[in-house]
Amino acid sequence: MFVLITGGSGSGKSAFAESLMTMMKDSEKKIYLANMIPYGKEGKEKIARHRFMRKNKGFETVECFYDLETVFIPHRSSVLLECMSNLVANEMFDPSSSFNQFPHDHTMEMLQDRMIQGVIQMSKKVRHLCVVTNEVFHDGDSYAKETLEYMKALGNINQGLAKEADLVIEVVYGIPIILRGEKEYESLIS
Amino acid sequence: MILVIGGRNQGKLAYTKERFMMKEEDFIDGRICSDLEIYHTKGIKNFHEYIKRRLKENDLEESFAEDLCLKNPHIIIITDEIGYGIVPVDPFERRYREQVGRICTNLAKQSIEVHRVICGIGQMIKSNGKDPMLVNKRETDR
Repeated sequence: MFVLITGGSGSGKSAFAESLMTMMKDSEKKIYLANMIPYGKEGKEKIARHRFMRKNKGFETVECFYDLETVFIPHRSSVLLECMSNLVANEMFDPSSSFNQFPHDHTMEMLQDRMIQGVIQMSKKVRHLCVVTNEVFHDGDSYAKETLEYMKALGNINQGLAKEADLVIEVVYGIPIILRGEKEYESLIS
Repeated sequence: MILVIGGRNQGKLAYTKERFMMKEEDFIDGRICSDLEIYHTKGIKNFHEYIKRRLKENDLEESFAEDLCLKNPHIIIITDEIGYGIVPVDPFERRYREQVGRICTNLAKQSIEVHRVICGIGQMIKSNGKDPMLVNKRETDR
């Protein structure tokens, strides 16, 4: 199953995604695909908090900061990808990403397509894929040009993923709102 | 405990007053109330502003949400949802959004009902104190 989970800042979407993963029992391995580059003290603390949250939940952590299509994931595993908003930011703004290393070979549209395809291909290879993303779109447009471009990319990617996902959930303060896939959700939790 | 959430200016207070037959004076205002009033009031509006003030004063304990549930288990809390934008550059703003989210997630877990108001219309996204994730599971277990 391919699940897309979205929500605002501090909405409890990560904890929810982890609980959902524990209900997907037919996989050999659970992989936590960590996308956040540990910048500074706050970044490291955030990573430590997430590691603590998923401790004893049986995840193997694999780091992937960009180029999702190149990461190796064993078959029959379930993957929790956390999170799309970091992955897009890394691809767009980190100097070592291929998007920034070879700027003349890429347009924003190509980057978006590559990222959407990377996730979809992965969802076909693994048993279950749960992608966590972020709702960053309800707070006006008083942002720098690069930030608006980022929002557009993430918005397009979210839409591209939602189109393919079996189950799309918005998490509101820990409460799931099913946007697509009522039946799939019920079969998961029953 | 009941949580009423939604964006700014969505009619959360009017909805809450009507739905729970409450009066203006049943609510303290998170913008101006004292730190301790929250433990005795029937209701609070602008709860996010209360959190902001206490974060600014740097006196919000980790156990705040649990304490509130214990000391005022029947409180009705109205709060803005503020976590739906780009993560702010300013460290305080970042912490504020994150903390309002964490605290509300914690309170939602303890709440018997959670209402989300848009255009003045409330939707009950949690009812009877049931963990929505387990509702169906319990029903099939029976």
